[in-house]
Amino acid sequence: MGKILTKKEKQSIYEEIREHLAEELEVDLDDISEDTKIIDDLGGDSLIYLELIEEFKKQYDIALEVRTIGQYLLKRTINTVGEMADAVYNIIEKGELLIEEMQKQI
Amino acid sequence: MFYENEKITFLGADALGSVNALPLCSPPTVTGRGCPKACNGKEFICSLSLCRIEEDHELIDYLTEHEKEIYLSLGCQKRRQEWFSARIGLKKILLEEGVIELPTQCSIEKDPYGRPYIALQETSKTAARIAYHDCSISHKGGYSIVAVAMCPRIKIGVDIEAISERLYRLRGAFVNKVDSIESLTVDNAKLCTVLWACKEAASKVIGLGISADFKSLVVKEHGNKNRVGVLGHNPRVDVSWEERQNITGSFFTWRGFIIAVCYALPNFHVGTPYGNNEGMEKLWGKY
Repeated sequence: MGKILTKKEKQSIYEEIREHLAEELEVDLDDISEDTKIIDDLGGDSLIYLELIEEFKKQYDIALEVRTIGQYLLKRTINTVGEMADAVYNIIEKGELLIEEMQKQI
Repeated sequence: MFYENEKITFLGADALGSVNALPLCSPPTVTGRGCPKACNGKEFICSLSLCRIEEDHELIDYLTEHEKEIYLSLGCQKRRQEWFSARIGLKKILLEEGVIELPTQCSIEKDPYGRPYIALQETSKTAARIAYHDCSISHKGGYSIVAVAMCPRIKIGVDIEAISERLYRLRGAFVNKVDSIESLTVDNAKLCTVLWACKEAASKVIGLGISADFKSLVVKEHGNKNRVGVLGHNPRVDVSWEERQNITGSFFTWRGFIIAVCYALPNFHVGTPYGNNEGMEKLWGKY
């Protein structure tokens, strides 16, 4: 089991995602909102997803493999910044329970 | 074909070369019907084009009406440029190879898993000739590289990546301790970029994208002896996956980018997180 995130922590994660995208993709922070599409609107790539995953894995001590997280993200079809933030909340909160959830869905 | 000016950079198959003569196919196992190039002996696996085109160029007439709608809906200028360049690159390959007569006879669509495929307009007389030809696309820095399989049912994947410290920092997420590119042991940033590009291209062959476990993909360089024909003398790499060694490819450097191309034979299993890829089989037909 991971940890339950407070509203403040969720807001902090969301802001971190925005800042990371703005810096790496050289986009104005004000142009990034929940509905912004990471690839179509910002020109992001698969590396951006990997960087975000690695960053939050370190910060929240998540033991999941990149493959498991990648499969989870693929199933949820992450297009927007808001969807990415929701996925990160879920990954942190569910932790290793995510593997069981993934297996049930196959 | 190669030309470059303020608005366009285009490297066609003649400039980039084609992927062919792979030991993996000897003796030849591909005898596909409708193959535009001979598949006996020296297999012509795929054609490549690298494109960078500024917006609002007259080449917009290469797009179908539906493609124009999508193009105009894309918000990011860089994304529009890459998206547009990929379509032009693909259509130029198919025109050069004579498999379409007009650029509007085909478009790039995506299957439910996000894998691109060539969709033909009903009016195309050449539909049967490229019905099951795989394609792959990658973008970076405004450039788009497109690979089109020239043998039916060969599966291909391509990736373009800028050489940078970015991938060196992330190496823990994708480098396997037995990955080996002997010619690149000194430059860590370049080595990591090559490994990432090869694995990304291989993951596109498998059909899994980032959900493939990049750490379990093993890249081995085979030197120039068994080279693949991309730009003539580039190292051949084999990427093994789940102890099977049936994805082969090559990489080369171009203006600070690494470009990797991987391919697998028709009987190669294409997987998705959902198990067997029935959708893909429907698209490509039963083997």
